Amino acid sequence: MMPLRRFAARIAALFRTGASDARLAEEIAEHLALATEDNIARGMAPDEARAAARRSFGGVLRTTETYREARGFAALDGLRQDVRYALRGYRKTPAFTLVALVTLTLAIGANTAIFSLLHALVLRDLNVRDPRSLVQLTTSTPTSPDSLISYPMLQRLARDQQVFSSLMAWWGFAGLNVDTGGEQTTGMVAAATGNLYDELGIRPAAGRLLEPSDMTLDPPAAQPIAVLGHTFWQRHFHGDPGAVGRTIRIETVPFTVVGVAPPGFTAFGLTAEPDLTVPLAARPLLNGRSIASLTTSATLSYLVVGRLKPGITLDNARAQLMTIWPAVREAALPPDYAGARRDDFLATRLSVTSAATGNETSLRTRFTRPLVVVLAIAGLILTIACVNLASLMLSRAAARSHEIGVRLALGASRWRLARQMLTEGVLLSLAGGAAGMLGAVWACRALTAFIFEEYLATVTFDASPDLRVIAVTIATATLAGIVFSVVPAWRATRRSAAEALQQSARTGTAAGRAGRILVATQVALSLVLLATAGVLVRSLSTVRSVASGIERSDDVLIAYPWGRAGGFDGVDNDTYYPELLRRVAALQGVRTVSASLLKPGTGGAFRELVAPIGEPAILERGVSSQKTPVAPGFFAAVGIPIVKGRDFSWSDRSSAQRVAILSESLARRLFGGREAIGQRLRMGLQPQDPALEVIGIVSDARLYNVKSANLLAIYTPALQDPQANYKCLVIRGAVPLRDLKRAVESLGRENLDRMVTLRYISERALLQDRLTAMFSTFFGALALLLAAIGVYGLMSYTVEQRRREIGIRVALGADARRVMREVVSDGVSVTLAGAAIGFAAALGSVQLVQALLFGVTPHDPVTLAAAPLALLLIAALACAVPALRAARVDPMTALRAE
Amino acid sequence: MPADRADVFHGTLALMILKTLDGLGPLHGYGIARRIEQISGNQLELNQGTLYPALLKLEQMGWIGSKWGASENNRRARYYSITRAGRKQLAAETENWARATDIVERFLRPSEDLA
Repeated sequence: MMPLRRFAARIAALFRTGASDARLAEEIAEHLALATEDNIARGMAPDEARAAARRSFGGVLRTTETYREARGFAALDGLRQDVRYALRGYRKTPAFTLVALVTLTLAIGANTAIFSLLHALVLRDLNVRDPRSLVQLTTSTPTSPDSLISYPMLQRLARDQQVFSSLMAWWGFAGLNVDTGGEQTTGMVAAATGNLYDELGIRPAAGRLLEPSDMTLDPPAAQPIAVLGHTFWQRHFHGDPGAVGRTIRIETVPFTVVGVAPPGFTAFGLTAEPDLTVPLAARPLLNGRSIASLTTSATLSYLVVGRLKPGITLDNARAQLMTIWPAVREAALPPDYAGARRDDFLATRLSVTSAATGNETSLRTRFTRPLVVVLAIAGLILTIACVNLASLMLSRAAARSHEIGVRLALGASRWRLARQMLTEGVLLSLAGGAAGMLGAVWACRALTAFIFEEYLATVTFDASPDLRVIAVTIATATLAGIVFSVVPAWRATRRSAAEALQQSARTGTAAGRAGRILVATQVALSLVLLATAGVLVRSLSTVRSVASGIERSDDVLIAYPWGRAGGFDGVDNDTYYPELLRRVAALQGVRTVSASLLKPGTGGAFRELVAPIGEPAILERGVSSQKTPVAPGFFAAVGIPIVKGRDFSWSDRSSAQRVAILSESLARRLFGGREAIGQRLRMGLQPQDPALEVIGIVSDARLYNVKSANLLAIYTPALQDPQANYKCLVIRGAVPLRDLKRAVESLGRENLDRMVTLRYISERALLQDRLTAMFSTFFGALALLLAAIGVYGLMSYTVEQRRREIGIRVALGADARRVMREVVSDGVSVTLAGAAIGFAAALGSVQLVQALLFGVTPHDPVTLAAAPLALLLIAALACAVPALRAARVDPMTALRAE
Repeated sequence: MPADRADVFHGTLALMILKTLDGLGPLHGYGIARRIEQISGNQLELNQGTLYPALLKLEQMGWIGSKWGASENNRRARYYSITRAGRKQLAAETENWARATDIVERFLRPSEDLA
């Protein structure tokens, strides 16, 4: 075992090899000079003296080698030599090096970016204390499949559960009016139990965070408190620590600021920072209700997260909670629920799942599968790039076979040669990986910005590569480098020195054969990729061309006013609504204006059970329909034709008889072939809800989700809806935002800042499809390019190898065009072989992405025909330059150069 | 050269270098080589080149130090000298060597002592 001192000295010596070598050379020279002089003094002739001195010394080379071995680490020295040699070689072939580097950068970079995104969205643990012990509770009811916990349920659970050491609850967000004391703005407000920050290990950036003693229910605390989000604090208080202690108003209710959360705190979600967090007990104050009303509220709106006690597993917890759940549910049943509504509530199911990676269901549902598919395609590109590089490296090694032969003859070990080639490969792939990583950082940022473009909340989602992703990238790059240099390395070690020194036709064709197999493999993989990418792209264009039944163009504008603090106090919607729409209609450029309580083009959220009046079992036999409360003129504004009956009018006001308009499909479903106009129906679970009279039928329309075939829609007058004020304006025409803003705000109840076109909303709804198609196009083009490079490289090599033969043939009078044709057909035949195999594999691979396809079968004939054709065309083009070169072979020089 | 003999040789070479430097003070590489040949009565024919890796190892261990100086002919030469740690090592190795030779000698003495 080498002593530590020596080890340290050897490490230090690594950095001073140049100086050390020079010193040794000088010492040896001086030694020999002194020895020579001594010998002369003893009477020898100068030449003899020198020779004798050398003899006494022994081998200078040997000494230097032994010295070097003792000085550093032999393996590292060898590695350094290999690296220097590799760099020299790459400098001599800039074209190859550039192509290889760019290929690797794109392939590895793309994989890193997508994996990083996927990792951040799906795999990464929350950045809180001990995320693996966190468990979340959610519910689902027959009418509401994605639901949370109500406050009475939370109270009962806290009392009866035995598996959690602590129980937290989170509510968020609501966009509310905030008066910071200096300005009026909106803020995304969340509410949390007092133990949340402490339990998650979060420390304040200023002041303090919520504590368990804040705002108890009984007795109700004096003044409510709030915690500022970090970005909100920066933006509206300029990071002033004096903000702590100030009073702000949320929807006119005063709150005292007690502290600021740290940057990037997103509670259990992944994306958005709350602007303000208040204690859970203060939540009703935001709606203008009393704190005590919390104990009887029935809304399922709290995310409950518990920390498992040590030793308790998720399954244990689930078992215990399931046993107490029926009692919890029973205790939380609001006393005024009756009939179907009661049944619906009592059918609520509890879900107990791990919260380690956070709660971000909607984002994950949208993006997980597309990202996995795109990652698979990216992995395929990397594989293709490796095969491509392997074939290029093979040609490169064949060109150096003479030099390899010399080295073998001089006694280099095969392992040393192989190690040299592996080093070359890994060096290239690590360089490409480093560049790719930089590109990936930029790409992740761009993708994140793209995905969260229209978010109103403060987005802090960070998809940049973290340590785990970087480690995976380095490992992948190293593995890739080994993979594509293993074939040339293996071939180099197989041959004897004599073989390598010969430029024999045998070795030439052997390398050629390996090259052909590699290129054929590459073509096969490329076809698989092209076919898969092709169907995904076709899917997007099909979605875009689906007749949605509405006008998804720039002609329809959607504007979102929001109510000022106390703006709707004492409002009489029956007069306010018509006045508001009248003022907007008077603006120049507005052809039609209406309002809706749901944003067309995306989402859609009100589902109600509808049944003809007299149907008792509405829970079982009611038709689940999409309900949209709208103002008069809505159908004209979005372009839905009225088929029968009439549109809503302003006389369908809050005090008038309840009416409804049905879509054609719903009318048919409820009433069969009978006349639907004039029929009455029930909507909703409360038996005491008034009946609705059908006054009109409209065409089916994919109002929200273009891909969904659910066309069962019921429309009700906005004035007859209790939530009438949460509206968005729907305008047909073109009007500047400032004019619209002035008109809306002139009534003094609402503000307006945002307006988008229906086309924009529809495009945003297709975001995951667009991303998938975008990546597919990019990778498809890259695959074609790589295929072209591969075929080009192979044909160039082949022509080079057979230069002599071609020269002879031309000398004997062969037609130049014939030679060209042969080269092209050679290249095309390799491509065909690969394409045949690839086609068979592609038939299977397209099935794997079936879930992402819309309106396109996996075995889409257009794609399955276009992809191979494109490959063959590219291959033929790639053969053009080598073919021309073959045709121009001068017999004299070809025969001479041997 | 078989491995064990090389090790022994290198070990003894190190010892000889240390002893030489201990006795004679700073010497350059050629000087050490000549001195070793002299002391051994010219019975030791070493390849003088083997000195330099040995000197390197001794320097790495911190038993000798080196610096540039002027040689006999006013040219630049590297002079080596023993350090305090080197002197300690020399004393320890000398003792080991003496003990080893003593043991071997006992075996090689005439058998009359083993009765």
